[in-house]
Amino acid sequence: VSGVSRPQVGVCILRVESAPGQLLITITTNRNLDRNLFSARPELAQRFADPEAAIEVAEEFLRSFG
Amino acid sequence: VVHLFEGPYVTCGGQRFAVPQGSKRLLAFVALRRGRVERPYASGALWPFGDDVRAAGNLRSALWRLRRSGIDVLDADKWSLTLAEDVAVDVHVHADWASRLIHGTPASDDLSLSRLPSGALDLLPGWYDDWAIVERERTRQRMLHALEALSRALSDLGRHADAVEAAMTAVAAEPLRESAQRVLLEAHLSQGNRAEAERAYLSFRSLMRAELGTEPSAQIAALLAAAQREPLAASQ
Repeated sequence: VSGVSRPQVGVCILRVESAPGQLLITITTNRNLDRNLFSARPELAQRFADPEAAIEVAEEFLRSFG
Repeated sequence: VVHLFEGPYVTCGGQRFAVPQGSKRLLAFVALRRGRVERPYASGALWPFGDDVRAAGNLRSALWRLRRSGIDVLDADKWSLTLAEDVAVDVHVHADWASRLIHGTPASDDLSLSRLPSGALDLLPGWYDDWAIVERERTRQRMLHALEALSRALSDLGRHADAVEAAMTAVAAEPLRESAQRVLLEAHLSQGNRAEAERAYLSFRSLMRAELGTEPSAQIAALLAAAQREPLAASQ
């Protein structure tokens, strides 16, 4: 996302694994990448079985960029 | 050897070479491909922000810095880049190890947890280029499958302590991964440790409830229930 003064780049990775009887969805986010798409900050990982809950988190991440 | 796990860095003849900051992404990008890479493709992938001329200049600069630091592992001509023929990449070496385990064709010296390199479950952490994310995930999945296969193979050989350790390494990396938890239970049961298996199952169930609000599958519960009904068959 490019702002007027300083571009902000973030990443939201969704991993979906099919486990017996359910999904295991892992969302990893990092919202402060440098121009080489690198971040020394630890990423935040959240896990879900419910797709709706995972989508909600992804949506919140996108909206946080304004 | 190009080392990407806990790298990038390069070793040659027992000497370690630090890769210049501005060349790391180029070296990793080419090293992860088992073949020739067109220069415009590499520069476009590595420097996507900006025009093609500037990206090509960045690539030339990264190559120059690499050579200036004494690292001569890339063959470059006007059109393409490739790793020099005598250069190995740790990711490829360990991916081959993992494949032998997964396909059930390990050599005898493959059957050791010490073959899992440090950092193998988190390739190039902090790198978020698309190609790096994909390779990180591919490597992680391959290594987790390899650990599960390693644990089963070690159990079959009666090396129960090693089998449990391999399974626990997979579980530690991904505690909610049911296949890893199942292998850990199998390793405990193979050794005849029903109480340990039950403890591992209860711990997994608590984690599932707390993190996902769900229960482990019926299959993994059945594994434990079946073991409780049967007489111990494993070595003591």
